[in-house]
Amino acid sequence: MVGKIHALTVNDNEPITLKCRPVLLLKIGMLYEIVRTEEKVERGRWRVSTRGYMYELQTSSGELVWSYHWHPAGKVRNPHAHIGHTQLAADAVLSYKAHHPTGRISLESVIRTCIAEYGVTPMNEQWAEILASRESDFETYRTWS
Amino acid sequence: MPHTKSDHEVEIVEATREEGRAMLDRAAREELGMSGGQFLAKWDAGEYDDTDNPAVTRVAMLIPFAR
Repeated sequence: MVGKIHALTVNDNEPITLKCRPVLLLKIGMLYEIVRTEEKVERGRWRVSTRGYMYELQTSSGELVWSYHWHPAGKVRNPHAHIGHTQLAADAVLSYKAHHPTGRISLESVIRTCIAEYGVTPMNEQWAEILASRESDFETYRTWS
Repeated sequence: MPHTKSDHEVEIVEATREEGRAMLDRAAREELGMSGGQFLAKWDAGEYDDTDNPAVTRVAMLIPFAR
């Protein structure tokens, strides 16, 4: 439906259990809008435009490790990251409520980080090529970064 | 765009309004200890305009499912 912001989740809004040790969970939520475009019409005059995202890495017990958020309707309108309080020392200056500014983060880059930095076993041996292909589309057609 | 093995294993489900409301209700209870209806009322009243609580974000991301 045009002119309305839609939401999507993965895994029925339940965190996805990643194949790694220690076990980690990934929770994904996105907001999107179907918009008419006059630019780059070789793929049609309609495109899906991201209107918000939430990518969260959690421990097996559901405690936040880190998250990347962009929710323009909220108090902090720019993309940002949170660090989970279980990852912080008791006397840490950092707080899980602090918003650390970031650029726009793609889901592909989050998946790549899970594989490359946290030892998650990919489902597809061609994961690097697939992520690169999808991210190339993202970079070509996004309207801001 | 290349098709992959994983493309064919993905099932896309379009949630009904009722399913969406149930999802938001479940999240609001888990994250904030209130019903989805209570959360929406507070959201619409602007009570979360100044919040910096990531739990509110987790629930707010589901609002379009319920409307």
